Amino acid sequence: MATTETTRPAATAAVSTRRQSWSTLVRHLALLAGGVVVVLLITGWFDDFANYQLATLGAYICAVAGLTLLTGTSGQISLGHGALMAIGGYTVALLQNQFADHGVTGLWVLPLSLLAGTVATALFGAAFGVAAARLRGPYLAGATLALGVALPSITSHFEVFQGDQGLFVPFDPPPAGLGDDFSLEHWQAWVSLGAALITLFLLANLQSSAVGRHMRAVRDDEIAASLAGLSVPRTQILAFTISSAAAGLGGGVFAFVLQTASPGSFGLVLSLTLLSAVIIGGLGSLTGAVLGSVIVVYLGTWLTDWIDGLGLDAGWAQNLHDHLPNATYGLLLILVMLLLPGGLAGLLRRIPRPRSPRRPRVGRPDPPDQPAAADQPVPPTAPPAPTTPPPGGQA
Amino acid sequence: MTPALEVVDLHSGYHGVPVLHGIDFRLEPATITAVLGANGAGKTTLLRTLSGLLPPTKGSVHAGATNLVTVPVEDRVALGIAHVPEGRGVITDLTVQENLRLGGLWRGTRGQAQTDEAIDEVYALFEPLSRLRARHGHQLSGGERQMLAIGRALVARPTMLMLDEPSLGLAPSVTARIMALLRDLRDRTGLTVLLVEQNVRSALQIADHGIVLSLGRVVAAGPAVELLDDHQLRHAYLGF
Amino acid sequence: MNRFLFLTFNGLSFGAVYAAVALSLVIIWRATRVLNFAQGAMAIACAYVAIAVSTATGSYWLGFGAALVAGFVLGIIVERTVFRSADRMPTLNTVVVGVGLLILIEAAVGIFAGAANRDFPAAFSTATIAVGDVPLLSPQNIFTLGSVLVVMLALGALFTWTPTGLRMRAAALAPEVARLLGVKVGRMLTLGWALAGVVGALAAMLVIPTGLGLFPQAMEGVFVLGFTGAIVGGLESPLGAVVGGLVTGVVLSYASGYLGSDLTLVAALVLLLGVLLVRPTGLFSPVPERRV
Repeated sequence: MATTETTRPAATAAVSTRRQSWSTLVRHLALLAGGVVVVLLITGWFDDFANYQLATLGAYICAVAGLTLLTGTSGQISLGHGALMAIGGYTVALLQNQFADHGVTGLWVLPLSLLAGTVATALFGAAFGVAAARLRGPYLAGATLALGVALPSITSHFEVFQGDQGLFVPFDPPPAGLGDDFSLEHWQAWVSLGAALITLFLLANLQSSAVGRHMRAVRDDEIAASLAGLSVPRTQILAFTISSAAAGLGGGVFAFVLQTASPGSFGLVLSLTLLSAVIIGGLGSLTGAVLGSVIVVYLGTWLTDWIDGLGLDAGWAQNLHDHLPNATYGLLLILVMLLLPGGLAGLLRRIPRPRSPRRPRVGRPDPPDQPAAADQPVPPTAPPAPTTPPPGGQA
Repeated sequence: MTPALEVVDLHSGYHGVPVLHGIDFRLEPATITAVLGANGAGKTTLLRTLSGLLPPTKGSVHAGATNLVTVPVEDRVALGIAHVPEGRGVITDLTVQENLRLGGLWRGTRGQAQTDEAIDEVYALFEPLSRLRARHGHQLSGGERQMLAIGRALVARPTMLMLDEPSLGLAPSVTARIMALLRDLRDRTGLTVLLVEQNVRSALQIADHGIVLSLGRVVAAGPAVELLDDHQLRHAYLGF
Repeated sequence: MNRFLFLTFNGLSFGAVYAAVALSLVIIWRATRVLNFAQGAMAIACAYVAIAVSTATGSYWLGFGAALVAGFVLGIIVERTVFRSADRMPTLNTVVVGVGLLILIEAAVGIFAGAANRDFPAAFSTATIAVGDVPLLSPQNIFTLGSVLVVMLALGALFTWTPTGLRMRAAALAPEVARLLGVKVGRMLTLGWALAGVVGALAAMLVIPTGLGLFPQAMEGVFVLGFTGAIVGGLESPLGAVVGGLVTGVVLSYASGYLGSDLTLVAALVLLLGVLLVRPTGLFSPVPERRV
């Protein structure tokens, strides 16, 4: 959904930029409206189980969209977004329990909880983002991995979270106005996909805005960006905060859909699944976020259905049922990264146009040594910051 | 006399950016040839192509009967070809002794005695190095590093030595000594030397032959004295 | 005081495992500039090989040996296939590939061996021996500390004194120059991965009998802690990795003992972030000058 920029003479640049941003906004609004229509139609058509899956999909889309913004647009990898979803999920769970305990009901209750979950996660993300902004490459990956592994373990330490068993998430039944036979799953799908559409809309506008450009500029060349006046840490912290907010919303929706918040549902597996969705779908692309989410939600189901249908002997069938989806994600992740760095979205972009448009830099190998570089002493690849000493190479 | 090196129609470049456009020349054994030219002319690229770090896109390189293009980089030192790259390539985290040992590792365990002998010769040749055996590369001065880089190449007892800007960053007296050393090796051991130098004057003074590159092509070649005398050439391509 | 001593020795024992993981990460990092996020998963796969061989042959030590061999082989396979062009890949890609491999290996183990938690015997008794009336170490702990020490010394000797070690260091420090000197750089890098694989497998064999149990995700936490150790010590220094691992083990042992065992991972996160923010190159690497 990112726009490519056109070049205009300077005199009309200001006017045309405003016109451009208006037309982008209108386009996004049209897509949003279209999305709403599609959601209403599909959920009306699907049965309860399919709607339940759609509801799960919506939660994933929120988080994956946020992660693709962070890792793709802003260039900061996170292996811990599952933990961020956990914050959103548990906030929603705690609030809903409080509301239920005090007999508070109303159509505004759930959105309020979801908003609170989003804000809580955003605050945490801002704080963590301050630390993360100083880290690069594998260091950032490792730190977020630690977050993803460690945060769920807090639930076993504080009683309020009720440990491994987790919290039940109570909420009001679907509004009476929708009719008596409006199923719970149908309602969950609406809430979830509604949240997803809002997230996509907001993030699409962000990506095509100046802020989005700043993020890409910082991602591509920090030094140039800071020389051009951008505050690198501030841009990165902002990206982390927004990404966390999206993850928090996704987590809150997740808790709503699962009707529980437990550490098991927000473990490292979730973090890695989110990353898989981002990469397979296409790094930095919101279309990719949707495609990737569809893959990780549905591919698993298709695979397990297929396995169950094969009639293998019980032991194998169970093992394959439990693990083939993940094996597939892992393999896809490797293959995509090695062979098709732009992911599915990149593939789609290539089809109509023979000339491929500007793809996210992170998907491409570094540019080869230029002739001038041959005069420099090796090493070829730049070490990641925090600035490491040049490998004890040559003099 | 079979040439030590025969280069025919050599083309090479980096990922679609061609740098060398058809280089031809030959090196006779026991000669010193200087490769000259302005920055960007392709001197370093030529050396990297000859030593195998950069595969040619076209053309051939023969050392005696062997077609070098088919020989991987790692195997060329066994054929007697040594390359001291630009920047010297001293491994700063290793000691002087370790750097020198590295120069002979290709011989394997069976050649250990030869390597030890060669290292002793290098210490005899470069007296200061023998006092610095245990020092790490980053503790050496520029001149000492240059001695180490050349010494390391000599441990392989090469028949052909390629040097990329050995005088870079060195005091004139040190450069003079190194040039004298090269001449001495040529006379004593029949070493063939291919020398890329910015310092044209000193290069042409010790070289037997010169090759002038401009924009990836050979624009002049011949005995060094002739090139020195050709004022027009010097003004056009060599800057003096 | 007794508790402090016990926690310290306990921490050292676990620290030795983290040191082994950290060492394997640093070896690969120095050779190919890849932080192998699949290192833990590769190690657990080797542990499963050990169980399979032990069960088939009835010998614990044959299984142990098989795990180490599997580590060597797996290291070679992974480097030659997935990370073959690692030097031309941006860092993000190597991280993602490593993560993909992690997911794939854990799932593959699940497919072939099932995810149920399995009993994994220890080589020696896990009963803690008391010195005086202070419980200190069990024979298994001593074995852990001892074997990591032996491996460290062996690798140290390899790198410092042997021609192969010199070749490996040259290949890692200056690959182009090394090639010019006749070093088969590709082979040396693969060897580095293979050795790292052995060390990782050893770590798994030492830590799983401690009550962790054998299941596909068992090494995830250990990987994070080994990574922490590598960061604490500095990615550029093998010795630093080992010390960093030991320090991590001891610090976390105190955290677990005095704060509560369920906060161990959180304490690790705090330690990791602390080191990354205050002294990112670790305790043992020289602090670099700022670029630009």
